[in-house]
Amino acid sequence: MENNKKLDWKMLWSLFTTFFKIGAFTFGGGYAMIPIIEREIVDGKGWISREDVVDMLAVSQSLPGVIAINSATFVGTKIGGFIGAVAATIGVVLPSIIIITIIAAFFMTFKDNPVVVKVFSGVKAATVALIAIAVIDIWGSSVKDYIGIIIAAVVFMLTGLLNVNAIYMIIGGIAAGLIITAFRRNAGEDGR
Amino acid sequence: MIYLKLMWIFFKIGLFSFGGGYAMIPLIMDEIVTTTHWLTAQEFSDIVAISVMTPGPLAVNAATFVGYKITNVFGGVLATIGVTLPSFIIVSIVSRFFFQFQHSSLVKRAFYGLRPAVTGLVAAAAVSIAQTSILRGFTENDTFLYAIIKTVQYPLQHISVPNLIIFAASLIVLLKYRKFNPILLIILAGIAGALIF
Repeated sequence: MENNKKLDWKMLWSLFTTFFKIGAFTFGGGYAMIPIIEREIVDGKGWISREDVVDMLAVSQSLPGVIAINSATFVGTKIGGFIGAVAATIGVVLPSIIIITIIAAFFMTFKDNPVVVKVFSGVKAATVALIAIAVIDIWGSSVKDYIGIIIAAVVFMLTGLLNVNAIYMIIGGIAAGLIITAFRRNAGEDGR
Repeated sequence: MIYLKLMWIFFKIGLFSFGGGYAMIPLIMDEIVTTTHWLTAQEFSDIVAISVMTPGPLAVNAATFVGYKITNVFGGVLATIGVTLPSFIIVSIVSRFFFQFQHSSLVKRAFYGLRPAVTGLVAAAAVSIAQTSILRGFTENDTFLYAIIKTVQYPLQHISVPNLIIFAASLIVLLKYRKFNPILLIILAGIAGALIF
């Protein structure tokens, strides 16, 4: 968060373009953006770690609002302070504004076009694979022991299999973290 | 002043919705169709259908679309700014505190449970999308458990073979080449979808 130094235009441009790509190429909810973030700013630029990606998801899920925007603001703040957050956030919403305005103005029959339906169907199937790989990628930095495995499995069963609202999983996860570590402390173990 | 009202409505939607995406749709419908009658239920459902199929966050797509439909390009931009601002303001503030306190014992303890929970939620998102792409004949509202049971009973009816092929091919490519460009994969899958259906 070095926003008091002179503006690093290269960094701001990179934040903007990364999140512009995310806005332009993620279908079917915010999580398809995880592989793009990992490629562009974890592996590519090395600006954030895999742990930061998990923290980004945790903070974005725990707060109200659009997950992709929450994530953009979080990563932008982390890398470039307030102005970084502005660059990333504008980047992630701009493709929607451009694409939707064009469709609304000229292609209202868009969703009934058979080619569009087929393309979208293929993209959605690939998105499932991208998110499945994202789970494997973030697993190592988020699930550290058997308690983590249990929490992840319970959340997956409740929300994934039974459609229980995600917000209860967030509250439950925080509560489980606090309670389990408190017991460990009492037992004299390292409370992490 | 319809522009200000539009922006305010989407500001409220951004402020009060958790979990993003589909969770926002009933809120938007309530404001735009039920309360203000700016759009009919049919117009709104068309907008949602297109917003789901186009890239970008669903709520942002819907905001731009509704704003444009009711007014013009300017209204679309204002509605989008409205839905974006709560996220931006709240996360800007909270993330500063988070970076300051992320190494404190309390935050570490909370995140010890929160991180695996979020990982579970990402996995849940994968099956939720699988349910309406690799499987067919189900909606977002059906539970995955129900979809699995029905699919085991009637596999031919509920498995979309072309989508299963695209999914399996994508998974193999990603497992073999972990650095495969996700954007390229999305483009290739779109082309494959157009060709094999």
